[in-house]
Amino acid sequence: MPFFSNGMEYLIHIGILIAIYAILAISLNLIVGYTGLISVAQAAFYGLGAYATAILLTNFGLNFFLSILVGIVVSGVAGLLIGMVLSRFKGDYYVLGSFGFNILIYSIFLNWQGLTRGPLGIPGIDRPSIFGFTFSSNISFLILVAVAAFIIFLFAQFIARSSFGRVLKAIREDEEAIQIFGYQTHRFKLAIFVVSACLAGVAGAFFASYITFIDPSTFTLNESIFILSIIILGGLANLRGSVLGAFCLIILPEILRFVGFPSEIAAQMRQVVYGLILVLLMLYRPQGLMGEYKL
Amino acid sequence: MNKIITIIVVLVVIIGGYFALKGGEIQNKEQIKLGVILPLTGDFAVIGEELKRGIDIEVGRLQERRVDIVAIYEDDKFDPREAATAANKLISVDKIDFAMVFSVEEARPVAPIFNNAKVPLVATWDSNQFLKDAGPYVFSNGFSTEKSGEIMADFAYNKLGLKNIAVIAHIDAYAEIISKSFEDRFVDNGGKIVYNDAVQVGTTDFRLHISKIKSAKPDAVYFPIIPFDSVSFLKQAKETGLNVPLLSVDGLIQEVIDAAGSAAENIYFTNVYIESPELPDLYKQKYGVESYGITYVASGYEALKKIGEQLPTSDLKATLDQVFGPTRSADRIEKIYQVKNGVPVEVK
Repeated sequence: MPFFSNGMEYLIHIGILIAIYAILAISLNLIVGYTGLISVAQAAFYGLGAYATAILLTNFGLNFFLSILVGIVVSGVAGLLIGMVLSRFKGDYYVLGSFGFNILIYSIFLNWQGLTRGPLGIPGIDRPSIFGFTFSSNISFLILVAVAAFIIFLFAQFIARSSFGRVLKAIREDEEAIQIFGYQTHRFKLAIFVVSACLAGVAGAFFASYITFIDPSTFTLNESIFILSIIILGGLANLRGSVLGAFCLIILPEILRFVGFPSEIAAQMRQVVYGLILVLLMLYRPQGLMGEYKL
Repeated sequence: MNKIITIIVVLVVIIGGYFALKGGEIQNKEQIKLGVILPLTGDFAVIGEELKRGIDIEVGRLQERRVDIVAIYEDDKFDPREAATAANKLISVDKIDFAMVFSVEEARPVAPIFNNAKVPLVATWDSNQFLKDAGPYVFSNGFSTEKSGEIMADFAYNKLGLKNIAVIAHIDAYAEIISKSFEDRFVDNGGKIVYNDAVQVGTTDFRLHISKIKSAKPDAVYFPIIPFDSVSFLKQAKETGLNVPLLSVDGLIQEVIDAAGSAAENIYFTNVYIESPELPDLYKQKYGVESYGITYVASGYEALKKIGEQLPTSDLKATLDQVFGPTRSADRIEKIYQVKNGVPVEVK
């Protein structure tokens, strides 16, 4: 049907981005929403997963699904090391520490040129393939990443509803009180930080394989702030809110492309309107669209 | 409240999907649709806006010649994800016939999309090694980055008689490629790179680097540093007494020369140039002011002008293959200039 073939690839592309950012948002919400730790280092783990996958696919010809496992381990190990340092901080210092780590990891992407090719980036990253089938069409890739996002959603929901999740919420509400009951809160914080880093690595692997080109400019502090914005808009400590937030922040600028602004000012007006909508949303819904907890 | 949110989301999906799927209606099958992906907001917006104006000028001229062409602009903020989204929208919704981007850097994340869709993509500003592997649908009308480094190396060694050079470059794709080309050619000629350093984009204090350069005792310094960090470098080089010839790249735009003042005097640099003497007047006629970045305007104007001379055509890909040849690149070569009394003068 010609009507539905028009623009379908574009919508599929949007769907893939929503799925990838939903994974990122879910991963960050586990730390920020459930544990109350504000981190702006998520783009670093996103990037580690992306680079690990890209390097293994392009330099070693490893299968995507094996590469993603390695990406998870790399992001997880980095999360462990960074989490061990960050767990010594609280409040604003935690934020600043995570800020510093994002910049550190970005610098590694940019400067370790022998491994990452620095600013030249890594092109020619293959799409996933398994048992002779390659996910070369965007629709097949969308199905793959949507399934991954769903599995991650269920996994995160399992964590949130478990006794482990209840401890995280208690840490968020009053860490000192729960320490009195004998809980070693730094271990719980470290554990969830590592889990979050691993999940962000999964998103990075999918991103690298979908766009087929990565460079350091994608994994900057701005990206971490964007992911944080998704979960604040969608709602902290609500995983469906994370998905909704990803949906809104990806869809909104795309809808604005079709608003008939004059071409001389279209791009600028879209930025203005986008910002205005976000401000209005935060004014009238500060806990986010589906939030259970305010920062 | 959750029900209200759900209703809003469903409405957004329906309305957004309608516009996205509706957008492909072709009102005139003869009309040529040019999609343009540019940084229209963000740090590179000044470049994107001037390039857009150059394209608009040529679109107007083509329309006067009764070529039915329309340009559709999308902002990519110089970000790979945004560029990929813009590309998908232009191809899938707007059903463009061909596309243009500012630089090869912008083309990299979208090249696979255009190749898969079999829609030609033309980079307007530069051309480099990436094009070889970019796929059969990616072209460039730009100036060759590698050749710019090579001609400066030849000039430095053969004409200026320089034997030992210090290199300080930005950690940036463009600077990486041009400085490597310069170094390789200079060493091949018999010269020596006595010092080699890289700095982050956004560096404002070069004093430590300048001090190390001075210790290496070079005959000259080659600095592929993009605006406006280059202003800081030049001023600090002068303040700290770095008294050797300075060689640079096309980032030495007039604004940098003006801001650096006497510190920019006598610098040799490779630079782009415009091939259309009519363009400054056309710009002033259309926009009422002189352009502050005529080379950016020219990059869009001249690329479309070159293609426009062949329009209309029944096979745009074959036409572009003919226009750009087997390398798919115009591989234009920059010229060498020297700053004299605050103005770049071509070195013949």
